[in-house]
Amino acid sequence: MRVEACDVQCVLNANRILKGVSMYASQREMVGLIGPNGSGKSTLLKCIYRILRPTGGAVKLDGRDLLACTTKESARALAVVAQHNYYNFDFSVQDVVLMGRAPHKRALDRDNAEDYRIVAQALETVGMTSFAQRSFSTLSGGEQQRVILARALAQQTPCLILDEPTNHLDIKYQLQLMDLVKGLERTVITAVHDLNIAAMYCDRLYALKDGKIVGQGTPRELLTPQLIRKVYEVDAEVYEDSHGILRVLYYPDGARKETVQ
Amino acid sequence: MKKVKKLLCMMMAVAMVFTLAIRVSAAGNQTEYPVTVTTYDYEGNEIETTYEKAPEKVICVYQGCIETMIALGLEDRVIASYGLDNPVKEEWEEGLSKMNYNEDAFSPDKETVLMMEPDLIFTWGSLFSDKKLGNQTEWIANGTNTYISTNTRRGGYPRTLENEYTDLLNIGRIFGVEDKAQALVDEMKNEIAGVLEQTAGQEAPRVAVIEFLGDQISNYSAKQLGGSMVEALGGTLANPDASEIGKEDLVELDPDVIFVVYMARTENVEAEMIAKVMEDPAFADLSAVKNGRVYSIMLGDMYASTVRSIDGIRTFAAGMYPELYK
Amino acid sequence: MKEQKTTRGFLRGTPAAALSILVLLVLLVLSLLGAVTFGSTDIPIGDVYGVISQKLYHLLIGDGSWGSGSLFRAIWYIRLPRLILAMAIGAGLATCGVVMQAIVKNPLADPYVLGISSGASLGATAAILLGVGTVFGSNFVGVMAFLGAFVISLAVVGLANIGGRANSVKLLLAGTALSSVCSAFSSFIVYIAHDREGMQTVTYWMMGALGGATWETDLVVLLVVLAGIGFFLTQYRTLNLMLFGDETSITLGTDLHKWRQLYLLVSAAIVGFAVYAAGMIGFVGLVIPHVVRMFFGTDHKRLLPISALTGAIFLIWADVACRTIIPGQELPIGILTSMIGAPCFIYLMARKRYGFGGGD
Repeated sequence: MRVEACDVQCVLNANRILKGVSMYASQREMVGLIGPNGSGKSTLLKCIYRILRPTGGAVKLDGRDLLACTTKESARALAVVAQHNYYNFDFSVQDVVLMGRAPHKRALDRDNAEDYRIVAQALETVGMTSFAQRSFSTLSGGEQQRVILARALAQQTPCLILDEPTNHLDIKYQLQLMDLVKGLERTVITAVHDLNIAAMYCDRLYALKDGKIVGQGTPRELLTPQLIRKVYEVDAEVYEDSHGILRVLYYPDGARKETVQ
Repeated sequence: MKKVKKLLCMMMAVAMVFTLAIRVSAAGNQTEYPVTVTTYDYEGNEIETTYEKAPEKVICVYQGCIETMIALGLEDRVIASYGLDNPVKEEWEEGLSKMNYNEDAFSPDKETVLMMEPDLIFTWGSLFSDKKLGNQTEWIANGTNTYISTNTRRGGYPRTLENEYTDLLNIGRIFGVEDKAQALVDEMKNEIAGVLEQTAGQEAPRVAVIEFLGDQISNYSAKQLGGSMVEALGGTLANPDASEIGKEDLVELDPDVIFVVYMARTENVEAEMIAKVMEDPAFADLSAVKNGRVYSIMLGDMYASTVRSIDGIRTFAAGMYPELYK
Repeated sequence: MKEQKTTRGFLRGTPAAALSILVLLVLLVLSLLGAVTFGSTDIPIGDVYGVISQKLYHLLIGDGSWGSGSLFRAIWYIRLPRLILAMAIGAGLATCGVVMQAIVKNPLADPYVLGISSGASLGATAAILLGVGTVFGSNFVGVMAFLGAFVISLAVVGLANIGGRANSVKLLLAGTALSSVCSAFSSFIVYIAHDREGMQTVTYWMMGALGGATWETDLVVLLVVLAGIGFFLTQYRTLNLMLFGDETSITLGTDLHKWRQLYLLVSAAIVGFAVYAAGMIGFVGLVIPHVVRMFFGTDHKRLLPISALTGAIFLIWADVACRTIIPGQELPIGILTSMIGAPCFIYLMARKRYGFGGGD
């Protein structure tokens, strides 16, 4: 599925958060959004997954206006793993994942064997099968995110949206989650905080600053010290490590010239 | 010895003849059945009830109703009674002992009443709420008559002394003891007439009947039985309209006489209630306080009081015209 | 992997839940049959069943024989309607408790939250003290309480929608605000009416009691409750979503906004009719859902039917207790449920394992 944002603008509490953002993610492409806090990454994603309504422009799914779809239709197209999932109630892991089947159900439909099979498969994919009957709230942050990913998988959508899913996760779980997502072969749009993670996993990146796209391209094209300086206002060095992976290192203001050659 | 025996026999015979004669004369005045009496249903609508004969299985709930039955000598008609606020008067204690008074429950529930198969329920209006016994009309339709104290009729009707008379006379008619009922009513009327006669030409005392309910002072207006009694006795209510007044209002009203209503729940309550007026510095300048004309009156004597109304009348009269009752 | 189940919700599995529902249904029938033998007077058990079976036989063959005598009336017109009412209201309140907790996303909600109780009180107070609504017939107090509850719920929904879409928090705020307004008006009526007996009636009325049960009210309440439960049983998925919150729900294909309002009004109808028939009965709607959650988890597919059945059985026996604890006198059931419910609730709160589902 191709997901496209066309000149999306968004005004929240009289602040223009998005000032006309256009971007796209093609079929099975993993696209990352980078940019400092407040640059509009999350707002853009929220416009795409329908929590916010753009005040201008449009979001299109395979060319069709998102707002012309029913919420059920859009939930069958896009699944979301957001940053924070805290529930006041005590669901079992299986209950949580089963809710991923909701967009495929009408009011009177019961959950059938097929649903349970899909749920089991999703749990297996994220390696949480043995946790099915555990209570969601007793899991660690990383486990919870994996369960939420499983729920997104159970939605069986062609597109997955990750809104800084690895925040607050230990490094091990960050990598684990991103590996999982990468292996899914779906259209993925993800906001990424950590440029190294962005560089490692994303096919293409968009850099946002102050509600505007200030650059785009493959990680190698986009992640230059100049761009990082422009977007994050820090000095950085970008290099390829011994495994051929792109690495970004940051330096305190003015430190670079003295310490690095 | 023989003579004594003879004399005793004769005396007994005479006594028997006398009792018989009295019975006969009482029978002579008996009500012609069927009797039709007006009472009210739970919503306060008038209903007509018909009695084919004097009820024999009566359930009697609350003070005034119980005491009315005893005062009219009808205690043996009562199969169960409930809900005394305070002990009955000494002269009625024996009567109460024949009424199967239930100390455990303040009022009976529907099933209990139903299974006793009463032919009359004599009580206050509130007992017929849908969560208690259910509406009167249903009971009447199933062969149990009902009679409520008219001053407990729902719907904001004024509570009057006249209603208490009516209740006494109605119960008298229902049970064929109209003479006794009439005598009780006459006693009250005569008491009032006597007072009015002796105080003719005198300026009407300004009276406040109040009750301390928590922090508030409730005022018995002309629409309440207490107010009705005061007015019947030739008094003027200092405030005939308000149902609640503040301390300042009472100071402003400055009535000649203040009656403080109490419920006979504890020993010292009378003194406590009077002290609430007498010892409150805010009331120190009230003429009733200065002249020592603050009296207590029991709630049961002036609230749906039926036969006890005579006590209410006397207490009010004695407070309003102390010289008459010296 | 090792068995990872926690003690919490150990009956979570679907077969266990289905079996539990069956067991509870049987228990419900047994409860009805058992409870009917208790009353404030001693009626031999044989007579009780005799009356019922005879009446049922006559109803079945439809010969219109209505039975007579005080024994018949005590059982058929007092005990049975009361039990059926207890059953209906218990089920209704427990269901509404579950639903309200989902609507406001707060496990401490009960069916009377969101202004329903104060609306009902205001209606009842106006009816008792001012005689408003006497045109509605003998249970005009109940009708007014129902109207109060329902109108206030509508107002809560309306108020919560001012300045943007209603959400759980805005509903709670609107409910709290309107509750205060209603309470103020109730107090005002009490103040101006100043009717000693009336005030006692209001207090008594609000305490909740099942004594007013008749077949007519039973029929109305039972229909409303059954329809309501039936409706909510089809809505378990959306109810689950409510606990995940608005944002997650949209990504899962449901905009909760309109459902929340619909559920609130359906609940208000159920609770309103419960109040109409029996006044306020506290804690059933709060505690039963919690107890059921402890055993069966939060999934509404299981929580709803099991709570409804448990609530029904609980209230039937609570009513029996009310009629038998103090001989010759009936304890208003609202008092009893609060007396049982409050300690239960504190116990639940104190249990470390059951942190109302909160995270660690």
